[in-house]
Amino acid sequence: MGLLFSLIGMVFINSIMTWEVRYWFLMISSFFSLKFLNLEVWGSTCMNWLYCDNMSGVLIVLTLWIGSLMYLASNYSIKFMMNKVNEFSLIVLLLCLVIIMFFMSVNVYMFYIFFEISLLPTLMLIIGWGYQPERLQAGMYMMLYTVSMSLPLLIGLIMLSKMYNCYNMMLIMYLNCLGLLYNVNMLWFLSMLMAFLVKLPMFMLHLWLPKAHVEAPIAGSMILAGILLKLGGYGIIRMLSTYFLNEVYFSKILIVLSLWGGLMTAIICVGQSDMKSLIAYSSVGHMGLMLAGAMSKFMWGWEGAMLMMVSHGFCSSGLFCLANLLYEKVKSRSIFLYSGMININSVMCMWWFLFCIANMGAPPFINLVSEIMLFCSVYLYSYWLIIFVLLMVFMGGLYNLIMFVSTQHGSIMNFINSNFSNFCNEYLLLFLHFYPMLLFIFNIGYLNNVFVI
Amino acid sequence: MNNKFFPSNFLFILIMVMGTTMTLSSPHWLTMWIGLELNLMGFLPLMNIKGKSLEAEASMKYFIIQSMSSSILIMTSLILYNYNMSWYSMFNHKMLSTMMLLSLILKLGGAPLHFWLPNMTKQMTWLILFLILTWQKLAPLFMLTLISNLNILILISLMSTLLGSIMILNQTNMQVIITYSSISHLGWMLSMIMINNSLTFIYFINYIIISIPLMNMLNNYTNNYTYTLTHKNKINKLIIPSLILSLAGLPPLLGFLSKLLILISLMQTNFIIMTLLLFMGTLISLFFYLNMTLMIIVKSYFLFENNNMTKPYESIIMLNMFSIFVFYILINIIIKYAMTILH
Repeated sequence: MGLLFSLIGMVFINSIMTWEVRYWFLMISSFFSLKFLNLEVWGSTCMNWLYCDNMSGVLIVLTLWIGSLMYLASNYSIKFMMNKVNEFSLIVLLLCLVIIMFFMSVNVYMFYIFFEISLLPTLMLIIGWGYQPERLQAGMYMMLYTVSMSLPLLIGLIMLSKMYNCYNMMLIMYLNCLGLLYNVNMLWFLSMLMAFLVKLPMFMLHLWLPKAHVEAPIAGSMILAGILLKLGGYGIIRMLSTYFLNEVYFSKILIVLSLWGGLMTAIICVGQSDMKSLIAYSSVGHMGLMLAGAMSKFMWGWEGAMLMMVSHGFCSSGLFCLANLLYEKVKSRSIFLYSGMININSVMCMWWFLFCIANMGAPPFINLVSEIMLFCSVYLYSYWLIIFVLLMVFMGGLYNLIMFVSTQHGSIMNFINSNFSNFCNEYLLLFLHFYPMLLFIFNIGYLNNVFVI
Repeated sequence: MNNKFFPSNFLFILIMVMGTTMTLSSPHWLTMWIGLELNLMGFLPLMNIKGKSLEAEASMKYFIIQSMSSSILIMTSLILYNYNMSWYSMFNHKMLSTMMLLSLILKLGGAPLHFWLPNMTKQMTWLILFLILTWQKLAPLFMLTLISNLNILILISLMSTLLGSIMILNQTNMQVIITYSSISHLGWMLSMIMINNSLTFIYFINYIIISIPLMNMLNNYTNNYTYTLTHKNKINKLIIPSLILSLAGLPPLLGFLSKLLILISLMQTNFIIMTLLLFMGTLISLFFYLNMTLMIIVKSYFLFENNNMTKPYESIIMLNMFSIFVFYILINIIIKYAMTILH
């Protein structure tokens, strides 16, 4: 609560050093909010409105962390270039506030409303600080996809709360009305999950995401990949755990579809030439895997889904930062113009390597743990799905390798005749993405507490 | 007469207000009819306030339509008197009440009978347009509560929501856009008027709260065409987008709150398909409203320009934008209200 009030207070400060004050505030509050990682299994409530359990706690920490890194990442493109600095910091702060409210809200209407509000600052980010005129179309795509699919959610939520006579999600969860939604109709299932499936995005509903990523400024694509996709994942798991949508037939279809989509997007990634679009498609694939794990309804699947959300939040956001650092030097997103960067700056090459192997799920990171958990749960669901999984792992390794090799190795392009140097704040930015991704592995037992009830 | 502060204008305003009040406070068809006519008599001279020929044409059209609908109203109420031996509004007859309802819909400009309204609004000033879209709707809207003919009313409300939002897509004139949006909002209000008219009243007030500053700003800063929205002018860039999105009913804003209330109440009475269709209409118009918003935000190169805030509307705009902090805390109470007044 104090966290929220101080966030609101930060909105109103208006003096010199606003940027720095807000940046430091988000950093420090993300440090303080680490206590959300140590909640009791039943969570903690605050008034009637706010409730934080282990599922939302880790995502709140992630939000604050990525939010502060957004300031750090746009240090050059916004602050140094004097591109509407105060408005930018205000919007980032508002976005963080809204998303934290979403994660903490316990009333179903608040849940829906904050889910929707988070669109507006994102739209502002894309429209206000994007690079190209196509950003209008991208913003329009994003708004219409998400709003149109979330209206059934609103109607479904109202109908359900009418059935339960209760608007409090926590209460419904503890009421444990197992029989009420046991063998539910497809319409229930789709209306409750469709909004989140679009936000996630599931394959076939994902068209808005690469567009929005390509057009958004670095902060916008960081928060899109890092947090807004997790809104969808969190929503799905929250809906499933609250309302017990024990439906087996359509979740089967969803699992196959999302795994197939993961494979498809990996193949698309292999042939992709636009760097940001490549990372965006790879995040579609990862989120599809996460959806398959959540839909398999195994405990391992859900825990793996939670871990996947955290690890993917850090990893894809870090990759976007790397892509943006190159973009600021070369002024192009095309992967063909990047070759031979290892000769120019070998430290950055190490960061590229680390984030690429994190993205493909290689050993020292939590990505590996989450992918193992998800693969196991998918395999437990049906052993036929192992075909998808194998192909997906292979293609995932392939496109990450292609991305790494084509940017870092090879000969230097002719037109690059100056020496690129990176500031230390850029290394700090990458380090702060890398560090939690690596060291969260010591806290992997956190997942035991998430879905105890 | 050309002066805005010509003394008789105050008389006309008083007559207009008195007519509406008379209609709203009587249970008797004849008095209601008298109120409507008085309201029309007061409003017609106000329409000619600038004395241009286009205005005179618009006011003639308005007069013909309104007097026709009120004559249908008085005729049907006469027949009703023959039938029931009573002028009072509580006695109903299926056929006659349908006639009466259609005449009132014609007065309001609801969907199948809406063609006169956008045709006329191009030639009016913003103030008169505002009065037509808000004050003049008050009396006929609340007369509809007295007529129980739910099926036709549902049909009309769905049609006006969908038609209003489809027709809005291809318009360039700001006044016509506002008119069509008010038709689609009328659909929302009509959907609720049979079931719970106090919710309709809340919706109506919210619509007025949104449209007062919006119309005033459009009047002051633009040139009645949408392309003027893209010109850089002294408008605060955050205000008009927020008002337009509020008309569209995007969640954090005031327009969503009224939609949410109506939605909850409709779900209480199991109108599920209807709510889906109503929302479909809102979605279609959301596309256009978003287009308008993007026009304002993008082409003007400044996202915010906080120096020129129009003082008198500050509170209303704050109410619009921060309604989430004002009302949503009370949302349980409001929802209880929306649910229980029926049972």
